[in-house]
Amino acid sequence: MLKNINRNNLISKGNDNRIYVFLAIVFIVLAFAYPAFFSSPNIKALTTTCLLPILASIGFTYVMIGGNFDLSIGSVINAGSVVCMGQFNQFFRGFGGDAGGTGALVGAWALAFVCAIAIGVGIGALNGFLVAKVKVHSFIVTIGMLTAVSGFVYTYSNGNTISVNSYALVDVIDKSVVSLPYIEMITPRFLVMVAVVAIFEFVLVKTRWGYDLFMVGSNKESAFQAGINTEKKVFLSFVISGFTAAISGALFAVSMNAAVPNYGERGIAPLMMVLASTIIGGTVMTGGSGSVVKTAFAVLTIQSIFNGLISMGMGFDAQVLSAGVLLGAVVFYESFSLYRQSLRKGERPALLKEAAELRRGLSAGSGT
Amino acid sequence: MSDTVTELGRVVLEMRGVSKQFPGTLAVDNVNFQVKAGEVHALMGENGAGKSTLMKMLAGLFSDYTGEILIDGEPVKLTSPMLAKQAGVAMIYQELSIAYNRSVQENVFAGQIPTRGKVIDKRALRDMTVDVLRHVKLDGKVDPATPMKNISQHESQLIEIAKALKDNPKILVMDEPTSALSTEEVETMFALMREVKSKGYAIVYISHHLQEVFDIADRVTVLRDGKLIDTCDVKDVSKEDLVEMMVGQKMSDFYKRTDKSVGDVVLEVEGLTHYGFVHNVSFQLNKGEILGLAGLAGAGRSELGRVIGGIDRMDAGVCRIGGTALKTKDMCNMVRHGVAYLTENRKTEGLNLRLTARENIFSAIIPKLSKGPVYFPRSGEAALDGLYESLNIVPRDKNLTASNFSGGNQQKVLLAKWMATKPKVLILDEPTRGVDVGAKKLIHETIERLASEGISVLLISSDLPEIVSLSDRIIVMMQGHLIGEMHKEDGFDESKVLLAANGERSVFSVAY
Repeated sequence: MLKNINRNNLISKGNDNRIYVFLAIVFIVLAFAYPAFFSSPNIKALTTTCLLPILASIGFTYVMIGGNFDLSIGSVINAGSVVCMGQFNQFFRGFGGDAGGTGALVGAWALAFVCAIAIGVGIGALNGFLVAKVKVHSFIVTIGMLTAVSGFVYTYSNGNTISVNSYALVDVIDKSVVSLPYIEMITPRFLVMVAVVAIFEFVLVKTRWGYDLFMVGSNKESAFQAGINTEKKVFLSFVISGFTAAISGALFAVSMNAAVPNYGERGIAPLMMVLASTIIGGTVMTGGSGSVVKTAFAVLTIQSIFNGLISMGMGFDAQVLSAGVLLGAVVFYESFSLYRQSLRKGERPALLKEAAELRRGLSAGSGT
Repeated sequence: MSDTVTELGRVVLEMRGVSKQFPGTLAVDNVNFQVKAGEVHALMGENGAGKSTLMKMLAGLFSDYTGEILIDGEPVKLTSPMLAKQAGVAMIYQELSIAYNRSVQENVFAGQIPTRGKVIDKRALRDMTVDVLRHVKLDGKVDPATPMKNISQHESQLIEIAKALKDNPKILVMDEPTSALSTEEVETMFALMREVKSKGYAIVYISHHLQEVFDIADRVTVLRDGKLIDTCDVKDVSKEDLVEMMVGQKMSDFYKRTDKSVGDVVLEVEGLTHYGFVHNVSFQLNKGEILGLAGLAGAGRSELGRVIGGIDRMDAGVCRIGGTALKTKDMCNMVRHGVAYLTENRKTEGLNLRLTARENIFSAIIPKLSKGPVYFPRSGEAALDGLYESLNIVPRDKNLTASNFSGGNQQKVLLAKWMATKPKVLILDEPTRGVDVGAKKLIHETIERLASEGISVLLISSDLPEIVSLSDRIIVMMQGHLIGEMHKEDGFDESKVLLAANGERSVFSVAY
């Protein structure tokens, strides 16, 4: 009996950490199939592609741990980027443009980021209010918000790309801290990402707030009875989601020096990337279990696969297919193991021994 | 449990003239309820009598009750679960409120995880959990870091009790804590309850089991239709008194059996095996016979029923209906050949609670009501009227959503669903679990009537009086094996069946 429980524990532990196994496999395969994979420029390029989805997936993971979905991040990312760019242009002009010097630049960027974050937090708060207080299913709320925010983005940008004439900030945030091979991917933007992931992972696994969020996602009723303010937890998880989505979009736009209203409509949408990574990274779709760090490693895994496929000359069709297959396999495994578990509920280990004897007897009988 | 021992016999909880209105009904009507320290106070009543509502009020789940609640003589307003907890009320629910993908320690200390500064103190959490588990003697048996999904049901229940005790409550409310437990596990639970009450805790105990009330309770309060009927010492009342108080009429011959002869073999099972659950089971079921299947929880009774019903796979063996061997693990096929399995989980497996009673009852006979690919529900209306009439399903509204029926009437709807298939073999798994006395009586009468009409019934039940009085013959399972058979002519009673289920071989007519 005890042995059985230990085996179960081992299996659940292994499954919890499956993303590290995936990542190791992908790295080993790519090391052989694509020798340039581990070259310094490629590592830098790979890391850069991960920044946007990792940042945006933090809040998404929080929301899913709390037992909900936030599909609106797909357009909140775009809202963050167009608002950041558009507001910068406006504030920069207001501060006197180039004549305003460094002060105008810093001030305009700071205000632009505040605006972008405010938009994200505002949308997250509205999502959170509708889900936590009004009790509308999160899927419906956020898919509606996805469309509504997309409309706002087009209105705000008039459907045009918003670009910025100042390269000052992009020069800072995308410049390597130390220009040495293999660590040149460490840019200020990368450090921001690492810091945000670290902070939110810490909150999740080391503070009471995080434990309470897990409890809310795992069993809302018992969390409520334990005196946890479940509505507030769910509300805040959506606010965090809006915050990380908006800031990821804003930083991405800065590094591109432009914001498009329809980023991700062709090719691989950030929303799909984030969703796939969160699930592959081990966050349980019904809530109650998951990790920001594991989601980040899942993003890295998927981007590595994409990177390898591109190097082999394959287009984004193959990328989408591979991500889809991996996601499908994980979701299938999750449901199948749940089903297997339900079949074995109440099984008597002692009877299995007898069953083995019976089976031997049957095969011996049919043999003669 | 630190020593906040309350003086035994003092009134800890007093509810004065409390009422709770739901749309359309007065669920609790001006009830006075008192619980003393160091007593187990049973709260009884049929389904819908207001027990659960009264206890939910105590748990702080309603903010709009009227009347007065006093704890230790102090008037309190219990309008949120947190307030109720602070006032010293701890609830242990019928449906376990477990977060399955979190660990034991996180479940026990949900919402009260210890911290050092802002950071979780894992070592303290572990030590505190071991301390709490000591109350229910699980320290050393259960590792606090084990995920709840890897813990057995019995242990989960004990963990729930430990969790309730950790807050040093004054009043412990237990809602049907024994419904999923085996006989030994119930004994463990009762021993624990006796220990807890001797320390001065007041325990409110909700149960449908009359026997359990006499085994464990000191006083009993009966509710009917939201009103208080009486509170009395258990030693002053008999089972008949209690039943009368609950149903409001004198109970005469609760179970009645007329002798009858049984016909030919209808169902023949030979060497049936489902690896890990049921091992090499053989028996025969005759026409018009009620065959009781007894055993302790986890003996493999439901598992056997599920294999014959075509839900779970049969790894070895043969199952014959009227002489033809059938492919099981094909429920449609089994239903077509006249086998119906009534599940023990009516809310999750038996009924679709969001559909109406009519849709639920017709759900198993859609092919019969169809001509080609077109479904004509109207053609079943006459049969439906008949079922409603014979089972006395209340309310008579066939378009009422299943979730709006009381537990007893939901069970009747489920029985009607399988009766509608006109089965030859009816497998009933706990047909009266959690239903009120009136519905129970009616279901028993229906089972008798079906048998006299020639339907063979395999009755799986943990309710000893039920299985003893209804069965013509009883077969007994233990740990996945069929261990023996008891015949009515040799005489069986509750104690013999209980002994048999515990593996005592001398009581069998035929032991295997």
